[in-house]
Amino acid sequence: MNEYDLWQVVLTEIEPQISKANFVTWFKNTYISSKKDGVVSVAVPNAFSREWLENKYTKPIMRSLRNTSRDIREIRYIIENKKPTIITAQNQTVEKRDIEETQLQFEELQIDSVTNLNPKYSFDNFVVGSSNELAHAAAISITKKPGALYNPLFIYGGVGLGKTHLLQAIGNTFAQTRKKVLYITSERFTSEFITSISNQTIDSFKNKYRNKDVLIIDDIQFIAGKEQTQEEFFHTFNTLHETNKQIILSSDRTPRSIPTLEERLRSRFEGGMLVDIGYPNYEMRVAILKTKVKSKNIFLSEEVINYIANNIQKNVRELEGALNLVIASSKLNNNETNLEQAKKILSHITSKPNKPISYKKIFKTVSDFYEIEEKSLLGKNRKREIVLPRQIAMFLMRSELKASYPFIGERFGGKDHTTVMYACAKIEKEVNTNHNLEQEIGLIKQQIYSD
Amino acid sequence: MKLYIKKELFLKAISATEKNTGKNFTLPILNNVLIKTVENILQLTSTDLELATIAEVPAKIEEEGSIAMNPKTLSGFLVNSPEGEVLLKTKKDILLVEHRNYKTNIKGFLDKDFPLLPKTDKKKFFTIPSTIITSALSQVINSVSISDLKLELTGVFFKITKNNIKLVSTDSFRLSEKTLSRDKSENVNEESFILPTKAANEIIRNYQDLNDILFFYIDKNQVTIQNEENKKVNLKIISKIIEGEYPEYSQIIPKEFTTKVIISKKEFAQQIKSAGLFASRINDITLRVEKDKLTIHSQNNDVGEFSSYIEAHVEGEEQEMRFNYNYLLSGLNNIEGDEVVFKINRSDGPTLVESVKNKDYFYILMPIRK
Repeated sequence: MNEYDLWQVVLTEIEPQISKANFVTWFKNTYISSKKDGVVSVAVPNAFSREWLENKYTKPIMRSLRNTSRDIREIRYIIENKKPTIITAQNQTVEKRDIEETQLQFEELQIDSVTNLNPKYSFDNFVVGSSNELAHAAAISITKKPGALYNPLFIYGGVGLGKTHLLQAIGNTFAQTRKKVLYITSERFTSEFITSISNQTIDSFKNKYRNKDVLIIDDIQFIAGKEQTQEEFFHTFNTLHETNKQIILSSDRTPRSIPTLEERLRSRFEGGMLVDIGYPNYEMRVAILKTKVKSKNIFLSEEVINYIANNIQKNVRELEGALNLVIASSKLNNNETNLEQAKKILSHITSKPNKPISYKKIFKTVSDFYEIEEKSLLGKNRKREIVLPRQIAMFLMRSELKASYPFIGERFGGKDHTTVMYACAKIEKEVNTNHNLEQEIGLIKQQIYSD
Repeated sequence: MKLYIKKELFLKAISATEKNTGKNFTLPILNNVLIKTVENILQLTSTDLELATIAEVPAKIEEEGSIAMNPKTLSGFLVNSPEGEVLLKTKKDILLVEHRNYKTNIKGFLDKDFPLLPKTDKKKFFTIPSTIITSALSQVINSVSISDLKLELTGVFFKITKNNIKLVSTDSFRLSEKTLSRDKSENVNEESFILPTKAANEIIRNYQDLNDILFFYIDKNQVTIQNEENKKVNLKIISKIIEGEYPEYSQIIPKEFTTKVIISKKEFAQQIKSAGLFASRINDITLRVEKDKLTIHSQNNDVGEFSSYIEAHVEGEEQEMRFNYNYLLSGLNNIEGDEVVFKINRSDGPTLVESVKNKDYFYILMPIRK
């Protein structure tokens, strides 16, 4: 007989012995929380119930417990409430409608304080297209078989493409099945780790991460260079991995391109599944805009949507920003925005001339990206870690600045123009065959043009 | 039971406990106050199973005993009777009250179904003067959430650290935080709990006129509040604690500001009240920060239009924001002192309001989207 049935037997036996009012008051929301070694823990909703059951009903409860299960020796009462069902994003939006969208809220409070998840991210509002369908499929499949298929799942891609959305959607799906989920950025992991060292609460820190069913760490690349944090994370990773707990990581680049990441972590990150999220194509941008428009319950004409999708090509976040601008102005003027107005509103974003970039910017971005000093980039060091970034920098100067080979050679401390030609040809060839390199160069370009 | 008691003490004990009765339909005994002798005092108890209020007053006890009574008749009768000593006597479930030339029989109930009070674990506690905690609670209580959607927000968050006690409340549109200094010699180190609104109100109601030291005993599931014993009227409140983790609210508090506005609180509150008369359905009024003044504007197509301005000391950029005037007013009322400072970043972000002098309290408010 299981605990639930056992308690039902007790309740049926006690009910006729006492008044209905007493029964309803004192036995409502009680259940057996655990049964072990002859000790039954009865969960009661509050301290009054505990006091009352302990003093008035322990005898009859004990009697009927022992009728069914002779080995019971002791009853303990604990105060415990069954957790209410998890609030999904849908429930919340219903409530939100009442005050419309006008009164702004502290967004931070939407975040669940136990899991750190924001319920607004779900698979339902994630737009799938060719650039992210693999990542999406992998995410869906691990929610069905956590820990078994791809562990860890490593999702990488540029900023504003939906990594966090996907990560949180996985987390929210698990949270609804009452799995112990924790979502955290690697920065917060690091700072909590540091705090726990200084407060000498390292054990509770370890416990917090190691007793989870699903651990999600966003922007794992920031762990690079922090040796002790990496060490701690390594052990956490192993503990979870050995017990088949699901780990999900995200980064703006592949594990191989995260500099100063310990080799043992790198190999573990690559041991599960690596998937990338790329830039959305035109059709996908239209689909994203349409979903957003629908979720905001407003109307926007097809041509305006197409115009935005055509002119904002960078990432999803900027796409959303442009959409919000258009919506805000249509609300302000109380009319539907037509194409002409949309063009005007977005003119300062779309017509922004490409800021000329300098070769210095390229030096800085490349050396930052690979975490090497600018000096060595321009020097004569022939180590592989230096040579490749140097060749990439040359390649970028050629492709982005249209600089001449001799000019580039000069900037690199008077190198011969044939050296530069060799480097550019080499990178160009490799970009076509090596997907990782292509991604890296894409990211560097994005950073060069970002501000 | 047979005893003599001073009328005003008895009445005080009844009014302290009667608020917490009269709403329970499943267990009707809870609509009563339990009157019980304990050595040489008379103890009155009421509870709704989440909160218990206990009042103890001295009495001349001749026979021990107890009875549960609906407090309405009893207090109604006592309010209108003269001062002096009252004789209380029970006969089964009847209470006899004799007082000078008055004599009544009031029907009550035997106490056998009245709930037992949970015991208080006195290991962890802190103390605080009643005047300080009641005024602090009244400063934060109107920002508590009334929606059950997030249970953690339906109470006042107490965060006790080595140096101070913080009281926090938020309904996700605004947030109040009050910081109280604490006696460091006490044995509570880091502790936190969420006190239900009902308990907070009961504390304010019962202790605000009392000039005494309050003890807060913190347990896993409950908190017990009581004044120092051996006073004429001893009051004790036992409340459950709201389960769950309070959100990491510190992320909400803005650290830097682009605009600061200092204005007279009284004048500003008056103008907001007037502007509120012309607010639309969503209670919105518009504030504009200009060079050395703050203008207030509101408009309702069915009523009319309002505008006013107030001289202000302004630092930083000009701003324009829309607020729910009710939220703005209740925040202003919570702030002590004559002058308040508004700290603003942008028209769609949180604005912080605090007293110019007293920095132990602040109110953060989210605007209405333009």
